[in-house]
Amino acid sequence: MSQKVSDCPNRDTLLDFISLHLDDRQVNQTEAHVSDCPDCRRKLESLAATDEVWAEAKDSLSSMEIQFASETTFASHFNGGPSNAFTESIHNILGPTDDPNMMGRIGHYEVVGIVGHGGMGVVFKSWDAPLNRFVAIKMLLPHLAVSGAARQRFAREGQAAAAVIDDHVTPIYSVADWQGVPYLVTQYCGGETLQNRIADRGALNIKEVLRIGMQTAKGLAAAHAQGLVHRDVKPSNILLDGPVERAMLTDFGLARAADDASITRTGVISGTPQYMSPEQARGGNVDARSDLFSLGSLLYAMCTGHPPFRAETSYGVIHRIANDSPRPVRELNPEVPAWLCDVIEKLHAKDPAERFESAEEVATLLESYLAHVQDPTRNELPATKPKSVNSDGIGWKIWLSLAAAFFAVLFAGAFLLNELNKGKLTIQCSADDVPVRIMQGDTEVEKLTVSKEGATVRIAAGKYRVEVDGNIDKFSIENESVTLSRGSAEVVKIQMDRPSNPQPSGGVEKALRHFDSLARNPDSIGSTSHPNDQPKMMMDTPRGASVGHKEEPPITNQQDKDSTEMVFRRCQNKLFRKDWDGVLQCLTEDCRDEMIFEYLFGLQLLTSFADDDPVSQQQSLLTKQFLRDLEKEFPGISNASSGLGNNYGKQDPELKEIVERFNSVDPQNRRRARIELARRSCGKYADRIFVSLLAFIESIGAEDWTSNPDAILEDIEIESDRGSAMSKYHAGVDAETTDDVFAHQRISFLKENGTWKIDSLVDSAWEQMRDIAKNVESINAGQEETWLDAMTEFLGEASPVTSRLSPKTPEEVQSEIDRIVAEHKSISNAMVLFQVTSNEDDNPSITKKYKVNLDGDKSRCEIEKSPDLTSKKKSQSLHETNIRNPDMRYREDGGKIQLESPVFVSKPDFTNIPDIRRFGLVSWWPADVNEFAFDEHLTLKDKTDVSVSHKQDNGHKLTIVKFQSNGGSEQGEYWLSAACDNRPVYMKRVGVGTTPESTLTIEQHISWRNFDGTWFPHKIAFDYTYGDSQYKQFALHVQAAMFDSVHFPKETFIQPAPSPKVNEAKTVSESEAFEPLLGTWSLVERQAYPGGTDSKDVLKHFRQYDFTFSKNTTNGGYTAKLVYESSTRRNESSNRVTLNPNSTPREINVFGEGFLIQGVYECEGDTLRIAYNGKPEIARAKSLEVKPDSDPTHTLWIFERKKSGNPDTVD
Amino acid sequence: MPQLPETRKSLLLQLAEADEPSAWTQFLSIYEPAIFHFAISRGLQEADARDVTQQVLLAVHKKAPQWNSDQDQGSFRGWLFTVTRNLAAKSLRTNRRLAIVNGATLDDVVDTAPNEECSAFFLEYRKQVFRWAANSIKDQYLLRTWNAFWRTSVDGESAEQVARELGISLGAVYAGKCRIMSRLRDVVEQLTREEFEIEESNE
Repeated sequence: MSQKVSDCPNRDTLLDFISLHLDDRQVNQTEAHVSDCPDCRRKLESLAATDEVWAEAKDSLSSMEIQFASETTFASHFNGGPSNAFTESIHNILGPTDDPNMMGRIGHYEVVGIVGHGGMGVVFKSWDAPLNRFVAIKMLLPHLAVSGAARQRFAREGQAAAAVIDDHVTPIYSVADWQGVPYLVTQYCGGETLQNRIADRGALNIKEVLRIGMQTAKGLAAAHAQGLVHRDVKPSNILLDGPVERAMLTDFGLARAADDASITRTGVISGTPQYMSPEQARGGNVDARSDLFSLGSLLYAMCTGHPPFRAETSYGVIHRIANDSPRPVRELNPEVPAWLCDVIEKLHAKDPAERFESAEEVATLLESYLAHVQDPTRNELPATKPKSVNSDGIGWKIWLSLAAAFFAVLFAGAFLLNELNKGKLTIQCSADDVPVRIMQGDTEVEKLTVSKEGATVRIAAGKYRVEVDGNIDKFSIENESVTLSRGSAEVVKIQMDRPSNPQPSGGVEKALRHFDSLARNPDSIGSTSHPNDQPKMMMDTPRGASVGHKEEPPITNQQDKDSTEMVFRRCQNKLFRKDWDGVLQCLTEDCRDEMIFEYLFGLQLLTSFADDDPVSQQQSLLTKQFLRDLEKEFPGISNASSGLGNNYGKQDPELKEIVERFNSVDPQNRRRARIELARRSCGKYADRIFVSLLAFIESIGAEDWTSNPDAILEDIEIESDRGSAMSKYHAGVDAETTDDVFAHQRISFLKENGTWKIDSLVDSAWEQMRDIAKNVESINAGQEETWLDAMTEFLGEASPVTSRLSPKTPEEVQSEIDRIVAEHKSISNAMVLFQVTSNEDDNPSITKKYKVNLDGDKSRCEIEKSPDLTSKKKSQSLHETNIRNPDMRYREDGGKIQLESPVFVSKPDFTNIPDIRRFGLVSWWPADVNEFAFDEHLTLKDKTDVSVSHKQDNGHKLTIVKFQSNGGSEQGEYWLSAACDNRPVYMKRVGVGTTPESTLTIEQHISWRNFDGTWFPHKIAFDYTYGDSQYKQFALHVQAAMFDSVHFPKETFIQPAPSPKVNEAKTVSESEAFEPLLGTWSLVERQAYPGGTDSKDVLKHFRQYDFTFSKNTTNGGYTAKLVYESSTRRNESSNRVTLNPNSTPREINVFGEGFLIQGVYECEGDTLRIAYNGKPEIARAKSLEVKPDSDPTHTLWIFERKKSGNPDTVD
Repeated sequence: MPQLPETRKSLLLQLAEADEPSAWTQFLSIYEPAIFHFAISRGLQEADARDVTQQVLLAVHKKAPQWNSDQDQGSFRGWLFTVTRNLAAKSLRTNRRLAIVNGATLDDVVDTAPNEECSAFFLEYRKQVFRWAANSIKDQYLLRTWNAFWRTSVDGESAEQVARELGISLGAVYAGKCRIMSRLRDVVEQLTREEFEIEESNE
């Protein structure tokens, strides 16, 4: 009790100190002591928890950013109303102030009040006493500042932005920290934001548009010159300052800091995405040109009064930005001159390269337009129409680098040199997506990707060399060294070499001859090889000379193919483990597909030929069993196969020859014959066997490639034409690989620019081959030119062969993958078989095939419908498992289906096996596809009311796909997919089977994949309508199959929804619906059940909360002006509001800056009730009532009509 | 702020008594992420992992009414683990055509030693308990105190630096972090020991 400070407190005191059982004086004493006493600090720690618990806490909490939707509370900041957490955290952070008129203190700034806040930050108006001025303080919301990364980012961006000095950029006075939370001090502008201006007055006049646009562009140019990208150019970030309403850009770079904080924590995109660029919306790399797109949207908004891309949800907006063109400006506002529309259109180019070069250029252009508009007689319309600049797109980066390069020159006074000293370099190219480097000496001047349309670069005069980037050797460059002189134009042509048969030369040839001599004449080992011998045995036999099964095997079960790979793998594994029982089991139980039989046959032959393999007995057992099975299942095949299995060679003279030769050569050299035999035996399924060959990397060595790689590849291609091969085959990752068997890890077949390529991530293939080589070498010791030498030479040579079988280190491959990902389109998948079941009423299970031909040069492919697929409305629908490839899209065009896809959607991480899963083959399965247009909301359960359908955007569809069962054990699979404008954006298996334990309820968690790659966990409810009666039938069927155990009122579901036409008949127009709403409404009560407890809070937080609905005279829309005042702040905003009066209950949408209300309302006399969910990504509330089981964010706001005359009275 | 259940009654028993939304919410907040992360760690794709999570929770939901105080069937988590594991395996099996292209194999799930898996599952669960506990107590502390705790104990910054940056004494940093830790530990212990074991649910 009475301890001296210098004495260490005893254990109990420390415990009391922790549990706060001491009085203030003691606490202070102990605290002071602890400050100085390391011993006590350690003691304190160990008293609080054991080391293990500390470590566990650290481990657990440091990975806390993986949050679930149910845990995210931050999103509630978007809903407009200040929340408890928000106000509390703000009050927590402010320091005490002596000035009774002030709210608090941050550093030496006295906080006057809160000017505004968004989801991520808060803006205080503050008084800077020493300098006698008001400032605005922007602070990251304290709870977001917990993350160190966000703190640092915020501070860093702030410092970068502070470096931008321009008349049109809000100056940043300082960047500092308060209580561990970083904040910015900026100039305080009293003016209104452009957002408010547009909301109040709608479209601006052309002069204003040009002036504000020009000034904004200047501000951007200043920032871009500092290498700073704004990332969040939007009207609310433009302040109109002072009497002349100078446009000032605010919040540079903060969007990124905010994203850092919010996305990692919540998985929710912050703020409104309406002004994002497509690359931003996609989550791609963003550079200065992204701001130009946003600038285009800004101009658009000024011209028309609303942003170009609108949808009810953030998601919808993002989708439209990425895919749609906005409605032409002149349709909305005919007064806008065509040239301005052109400017906007160019700024809105989806491809950044097609936009303007720089903000500078836009500013100059707008300035000259402005001059013209202000005085048309003296200033002519600028001659350079923006459209003509189109083909002249210079990358922004060049401009930047040039700017940097010429900085010194500029100082020397040669201001004009920069532009004048440039020449034009045009690169023509016969292929698409060729990565090209422009080099000056050893310096890389520019890196770009050239398409068939070519590219033009304006660069300073000088001598340049154009190179194809990366290790691609099939291009030849004409005129690759150019000398640009001032103002000149030069052309460089890049041509793709047609893939030709390999021309063995040098080491390859030597290796070839060597191997051939070994294979042909084992006795010659040790003697000189025969240089003139052609490797006859392997190469001269006609390809496709099938051994015993020239006929097509009967196709008995089309739908069974899906399990092929699995069986391959399983069987392979078992074979390698010499688990013959397991193999047998695989064969008898799993192989019902002749393709697998074939494959296994090859595999079996391979192993059975291995005469050092002590398993021949099991082999023969296996073979017998196998053949019996075969006989039963596929009588047509068995005969042919048995020729292979038991009596190989007897029926085919060619094969016989091979076998004889095989037996006569040295065992170590039989490998090669094995391959050939296996290849032939698998003839038609060469791709399969090929995979296995790679698996047997010890067998393949390199010689088969060397002898005739194209033959093998052609086989694969021939097979592809038959529709069974695939573009990119992942031989997969085999965890059980043992060193002595094979070491393949991941092998990908890629078709790149028309050439097959194998990426082998064996650690590495090179090492493997070395080992093999050593093996051979030891046998052939004494020989002058060893296998190893030949191999080394062969592999070291840049030949078509090496490019195919790339002996790369994992790092190299990784870096190549990086490159591929970065360019996104430089690889395409080549062949995919699409099987789609037509949904014909009489026979719903017919499987149809689409053959997909991918142009190797493009990331686009064509799908040919097989002729027997009759086209019926709604009868075919392609759905892909775009979970893995969300960017895949297709469209139907004149009977052909176009498919576009970048293959890699995410960076495959080869160090982490699970991540490979994203890297897989996209395949399609036979499906019984049924589509519903979901126009009607249906409440299944009060809490599960997320919808993905939108009335305004009819493109959203939910589709239920019923998959055919696979031989009876599974009853079928159900897929839920959503399509947006015919592009499937989401697809997910929602259920398997109909057995009781696998029946799933409709209230599934599903994940909605957003364009930026984040996953939104949602609960989803089915919104549906009955379309034609035929679909009604199916809907019920689905219901019966899937939703037996659902806890929703079935009668609701079964009851046919009223036909939309009936609805249309008695529609109420929006303006009619607005009639009773016009005027001012004051909030009188709020109801919610947060956490299941009733909370009827009667305006605890608001002194005033008024909505005023009025008609916007400018654009005919409606405005909801929101005025609210809480104990801490007051805010006014004018927001667009729309109604959907024809739904039940009626729907209301308020599109605010930083918030979005999608709710339902009811207006009776002088009472207006609006209910909505706090989270914008959760669909609107289904009812007005707040019940105990409502979503915690579901809030009912009750308003009463305000009597006119005393507008500001607080009741 | 989420309330810790005052009662000694097992959370599971609360679940068993249907219509106990708060118990269910609490249950979900801890177990849902644990199950999900476990499924992910088994090599399932996100969407499938969510499927599995949903299935497991559904199974819990169905099973809940059968729990009673005199049940003696080993720990609930053991049961939960088995269900999760089986469903994950099943998902891979039924999704084998997906799995194959994704490079995950059934064996990833099936062949891992159950013990290892089991501990992975419990580890995930423990982590989630910590997270839940941290979330639940966070609001009881001043932001500064919380930051002192978080930055020293989680971010691993030195106490001296944090004290300097937050403008408080070293003793205050230690006081704050130890107080929070002590509370955190209590909550975690309470959750794991008293609320979640069927065996201890007798009252």
